[in-house]
Amino acid sequence: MKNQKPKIFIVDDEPLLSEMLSDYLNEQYLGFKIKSFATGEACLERLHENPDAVVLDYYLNSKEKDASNGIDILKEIKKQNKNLPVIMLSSQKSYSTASQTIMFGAVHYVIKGQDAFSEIYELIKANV
Amino acid sequence: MVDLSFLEKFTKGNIPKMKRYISMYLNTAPDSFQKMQQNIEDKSWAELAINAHSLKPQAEFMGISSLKEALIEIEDKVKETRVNDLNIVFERAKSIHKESEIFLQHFMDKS
Repeated sequence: MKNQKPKIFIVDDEPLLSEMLSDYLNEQYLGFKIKSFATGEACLERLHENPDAVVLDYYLNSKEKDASNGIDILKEIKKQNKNLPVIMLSSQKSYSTASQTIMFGAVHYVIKGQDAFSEIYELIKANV
Repeated sequence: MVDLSFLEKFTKGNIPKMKRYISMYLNTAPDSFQKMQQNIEDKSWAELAINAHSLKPQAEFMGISSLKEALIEIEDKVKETRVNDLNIVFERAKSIHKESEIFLQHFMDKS
Protein backbone atom coordinates (compact mmCIF):
# COMPACT_ATOMS: atom_id res chain seq x y z
CA MET A 1 0.00 0.00 0.00
CA LYS A 2 1.29 3.45 -0.91
CA ASN A 3 -0.86 5.09 1.71
CA GLN A 4 0.12 4.10 5.26
CA LYS A 5 -3.21 5.08 6.83
CA PRO A 6 -5.84 4.51 4.19
CA LYS A 7 -9.35 5.67 4.91
CA ILE A 8 -11.91 3.07 3.87
CA PHE A 9 -15.65 3.63 3.59
CA ILE A 10 -17.93 0.59 3.83
CA VAL A 11 -21.48 1.12 2.58
CA ASP A 12 -23.90 -1.71 3.31
CA ASP A 13 -27.34 -1.81 4.86
CA GLU A 14 -26.58 -5.18 6.44
CA PRO A 15 -24.84 -4.43 9.78
CA LEU A 16 -23.48 -7.98 10.11
CA LEU A 17 -21.45 -7.75 6.92
CA SER A 18 -20.19 -4.25 7.70
CA GLU A 19 -19.11 -5.32 11.16
CA MET A 20 -17.39 -8.51 9.98
CA LEU A 21 -15.62 -6.73 7.14
CA SER A 22 -14.52 -3.88 9.37
CA ASP A 23 -13.14 -6.35 11.97
CA TYR A 24 -11.41 -8.39 9.27
CA LEU A 25 -9.71 -5.39 7.66
CA ASN A 26 -8.56 -4.07 11.04
CA GLU A 27 -7.05 -7.46 11.86
CA GLN A 28 -5.15 -7.55 8.56
CA TYR A 29 -3.78 -4.05 8.86
CA LEU A 30 -3.96 -1.75 11.88
CA GLY A 31 -3.44 1.38 9.80
CA PHE A 32 -6.91 1.27 8.22
CA LYS A 33 -9.30 4.02 9.21
CA ILE A 34 -12.71 2.52 8.56
CA LYS A 35 -16.10 4.17 8.51
CA SER A 36 -19.34 2.29 7.90
CA PHE A 37 -22.54 3.69 6.44
CA ALA A 38 -25.96 2.06 6.17
CA THR A 39 -26.98 4.14 3.16
CA GLY A 40 -25.27 5.55 0.10
CA GLU A 41 -26.62 8.99 0.92
CA ALA A 42 -24.79 8.96 4.28
CA CYS A 43 -21.58 8.02 2.46
CA LEU A 44 -22.00 10.82 -0.09
CA GLU A 45 -22.39 13.34 2.74
CA ARG A 46 -18.93 12.32 4.00
CA LEU A 47 -17.19 12.08 0.66
CA HIS A 48 -15.45 15.39 1.40
CA GLU A 49 -13.40 13.46 3.98
CA ASN A 50 -11.55 11.98 1.01
CA PRO A 51 -11.66 8.23 1.54
CA ASP A 52 -8.98 6.20 -0.24
CA ALA A 53 -11.40 3.45 -1.25
CA VAL A 54 -15.12 2.69 -0.98
CA VAL A 55 -16.64 -0.77 -0.58
CA LEU A 56 -20.17 -0.35 -1.86
CA ASP A 57 -23.11 -2.75 -1.75
CA TYR A 58 -25.12 -3.08 -4.96
CA TYR A 59 -28.49 -3.47 -3.18
CA LEU A 60 -28.82 -0.66 -0.69
CA ASN A 61 -32.57 -0.45 -0.41
CA SER A 62 -33.59 -3.64 1.34
CA LYS A 63 -34.05 -1.76 4.62
CA GLU A 64 -34.97 1.72 3.46
CA LYS A 65 -37.12 1.62 0.37
CA ASP A 66 -36.38 5.24 -0.55
CA ALA A 67 -32.62 4.80 -0.34
CA SER A 68 -30.68 5.02 -3.58
CA ASN A 69 -29.30 1.86 -5.02
CA GLY A 70 -25.59 1.09 -5.18
CA ILE A 71 -25.27 1.78 -8.87
CA ASP A 72 -26.67 5.32 -8.46
CA ILE A 73 -24.29 5.95 -5.57
CA LEU A 74 -21.41 4.62 -7.67
CA LYS A 75 -22.28 7.07 -10.46
CA GLU A 76 -22.46 9.95 -7.98
CA ILE A 77 -19.13 9.02 -6.36
CA LYS A 78 -17.49 8.85 -9.78
CA LYS A 79 -19.02 12.21 -10.70
CA GLN A 80 -17.42 13.77 -7.62
CA ASN A 81 -14.12 11.89 -7.70
CA LYS A 82 -13.47 9.77 -10.75
CA ASN A 83 -10.18 8.40 -9.38
CA LEU A 84 -11.61 7.05 -6.14
CA PRO A 85 -11.45 3.22 -6.20
CA VAL A 86 -14.89 1.70 -5.60
CA ILE A 87 -15.27 -2.03 -4.95
CA MET A 88 -18.81 -3.22 -5.58
CA LEU A 89 -20.35 -5.92 -3.41
CA SER A 90 -23.30 -8.13 -4.19
CA SER A 91 -24.58 -11.60 -3.50
CA GLN A 92 -25.77 -11.76 -7.08
CA LYS A 93 -23.62 -13.92 -9.35
CA SER A 94 -24.55 -12.00 -12.44
CA TYR A 95 -22.23 -11.19 -15.31
CA SER A 96 -24.45 -8.35 -16.53
CA THR A 97 -24.61 -6.73 -13.07
CA ALA A 98 -20.86 -7.06 -12.68
CA SER A 99 -20.13 -5.62 -16.11
CA GLN A 100 -22.58 -2.77 -15.49
CA THR A 101 -20.73 -1.75 -12.32
CA ILE A 102 -17.36 -1.98 -14.08
CA MET A 103 -18.74 0.13 -16.93
CA PHE A 104 -19.65 2.83 -14.42
CA GLY A 105 -16.14 2.83 -12.95
CA ALA A 106 -15.98 0.20 -10.20
CA VAL A 107 -12.54 -1.40 -9.91
CA HIS A 108 -14.01 -4.81 -9.13
CA TYR A 109 -17.20 -6.71 -8.35
CA VAL A 110 -17.02 -9.01 -5.33
CA ILE A 111 -19.61 -11.69 -4.56
CA LYS A 112 -20.72 -11.61 -0.92
CA GLY A 113 -19.71 -14.86 0.67
CA GLN A 114 -17.06 -16.46 2.81
CA ASP A 115 -14.23 -15.52 0.43
CA ALA A 116 -15.32 -11.91 0.06
CA PHE A 117 -13.32 -10.62 3.03
CA SER A 118 -9.89 -11.67 1.77
CA GLU A 119 -10.75 -10.61 -1.79
CA ILE A 120 -11.73 -7.13 -0.62
CA TYR A 121 -8.55 -6.83 1.44
CA GLU A 122 -6.41 -7.78 -1.58
CA LEU A 123 -8.27 -5.31 -3.78
CA ILE A 124 -7.83 -2.51 -1.26
CA LYS A 125 -4.10 -3.28 -0.97
CA ALA A 126 -3.76 -3.15 -4.73
CA ASN A 127 -5.63 0.13 -5.08
CA VAL A 128 -4.60 2.41 -2.22
CA MET B 1 -28.26 -27.78 9.88
CA VAL B 2 -25.96 -25.10 11.32
CA ASP B 3 -22.25 -25.37 10.70
CA LEU B 4 -20.30 -22.74 12.64
CA SER B 5 -16.92 -23.75 11.23
CA PHE B 6 -16.62 -20.66 9.01
CA LEU B 7 -17.43 -18.34 11.89
CA GLU B 8 -15.01 -20.22 14.13
CA LYS B 9 -12.25 -19.89 11.52
CA PHE B 10 -13.10 -16.26 10.80
CA THR B 11 -12.92 -15.29 14.48
CA LYS B 12 -9.98 -17.64 15.16
CA GLY B 13 -12.11 -19.28 17.83
CA ASN B 14 -12.85 -16.03 19.63
CA ILE B 15 -16.16 -16.96 21.34
CA PRO B 16 -17.22 -13.42 22.38
CA LYS B 17 -16.73 -12.29 18.77
CA MET B 18 -18.67 -15.28 17.43
CA LYS B 19 -21.46 -14.46 19.87
CA ARG B 20 -21.48 -10.83 18.76
CA TYR B 21 -21.96 -11.86 15.12
CA ILE B 22 -24.56 -14.50 15.99
CA SER B 23 -26.42 -11.99 18.10
CA MET B 24 -26.48 -9.53 15.18
CA TYR B 25 -27.91 -12.26 12.97
CA LEU B 26 -30.51 -13.28 15.56
CA ASN B 27 -31.55 -9.64 15.92
CA THR B 28 -32.01 -8.95 12.22
CA ALA B 29 -33.15 -12.23 10.60
CA PRO B 30 -36.65 -12.29 12.18
CA ASP B 31 -37.31 -8.85 10.71
CA SER B 32 -36.32 -10.12 7.24
CA PHE B 33 -38.74 -13.05 7.60
CA GLN B 34 -41.50 -10.73 8.71
CA LYS B 35 -40.90 -8.54 5.65
CA MET B 36 -40.87 -11.57 3.34
CA GLN B 37 -44.13 -12.80 4.90
CA GLN B 38 -45.67 -9.40 4.18
CA ASN B 39 -44.26 -9.44 0.62
CA ILE B 40 -45.96 -12.79 0.00
CA GLU B 41 -49.27 -11.53 1.38
CA ASP B 42 -48.99 -8.38 -0.78
CA LYS B 43 -47.72 -10.37 -3.78
CA SER B 44 -44.76 -7.95 -3.89
CA TRP B 45 -42.51 -10.43 -5.67
CA ALA B 46 -39.66 -8.06 -6.53
CA GLU B 47 -39.38 -6.95 -2.90
CA LEU B 48 -39.56 -10.54 -1.76
CA ALA B 49 -36.58 -11.35 -3.99
CA ILE B 50 -34.62 -8.37 -2.61
CA ASN B 51 -35.29 -9.41 0.99
CA ALA B 52 -34.34 -13.03 0.26
CA HIS B 53 -31.24 -11.78 -1.55
CA SER B 54 -30.16 -9.63 1.40
CA LEU B 55 -30.46 -12.45 3.91
CA LYS B 56 -28.49 -14.92 1.76
CA PRO B 57 -24.94 -13.90 2.74
CA GLN B 58 -25.88 -13.77 6.41
CA ALA B 59 -27.20 -17.34 6.21
CA GLU B 60 -23.90 -18.32 4.59
CA PHE B 61 -21.81 -16.68 7.32
CA MET B 62 -23.89 -18.48 9.98
CA GLY B 63 -23.29 -21.76 8.14
CA ILE B 64 -26.99 -22.40 7.44
CA SER B 65 -26.57 -23.70 3.90
CA SER B 66 -30.11 -25.14 3.64
CA LEU B 67 -31.50 -21.67 4.36
CA LYS B 68 -29.20 -20.13 1.77
CA GLU B 69 -30.43 -22.66 -0.81
CA ALA B 70 -34.08 -21.93 0.02
CA LEU B 71 -33.44 -18.19 -0.35
CA ILE B 72 -31.80 -18.78 -3.75
CA GLU B 73 -34.86 -20.81 -4.74
CA ILE B 74 -37.13 -17.90 -3.78
CA GLU B 75 -35.00 -15.52 -5.88
CA ASP B 76 -35.00 -17.91 -8.84
CA LYS B 77 -38.75 -18.48 -8.70
CA VAL B 78 -39.37 -14.72 -8.71
CA LYS B 79 -36.92 -14.26 -11.59
CA GLU B 80 -38.63 -16.99 -13.61
CA THR B 81 -42.11 -15.75 -12.53
CA ARG B 82 -42.93 -19.17 -11.06
CA VAL B 83 -44.72 -17.64 -8.10
CA ASN B 84 -47.45 -20.29 -7.55
CA ASP B 85 -45.55 -22.37 -5.03
CA LEU B 86 -43.43 -19.56 -3.54
CA ASN B 87 -45.34 -19.88 -0.30
CA ILE B 88 -44.19 -23.49 0.10
CA VAL B 89 -40.52 -22.52 -0.35
CA PHE B 90 -40.94 -19.58 1.99
CA GLU B 91 -42.50 -21.81 4.68
CA ARG B 92 -39.55 -24.20 4.29
CA ALA B 93 -37.09 -21.28 4.68
CA LYS B 94 -38.99 -20.09 7.76
CA SER B 95 -38.92 -23.52 9.32
CA ILE B 96 -35.16 -23.86 8.69
CA HIS B 97 -34.72 -20.42 10.25
CA LYS B 98 -36.73 -21.41 13.34
CA GLU B 99 -34.66 -24.55 13.86
CA SER B 100 -31.36 -22.78 13.30
CA GLU B 101 -32.45 -19.98 15.62
CA ILE B 102 -32.86 -22.54 18.44
CA PHE B 103 -29.41 -23.97 17.71
CA LEU B 104 -27.78 -20.53 17.64
CA GLN B 105 -29.57 -19.41 20.78
CA HIS B 106 -28.37 -22.58 22.49
CA PHE B 107 -24.81 -21.72 21.43
CA MET B 108 -25.25 -18.22 22.87
CA ASP B 109 -26.52 -19.59 26.18
CA LYS B 110 -24.00 -22.36 26.72
CA SER B 111 -20.78 -20.74 25.52
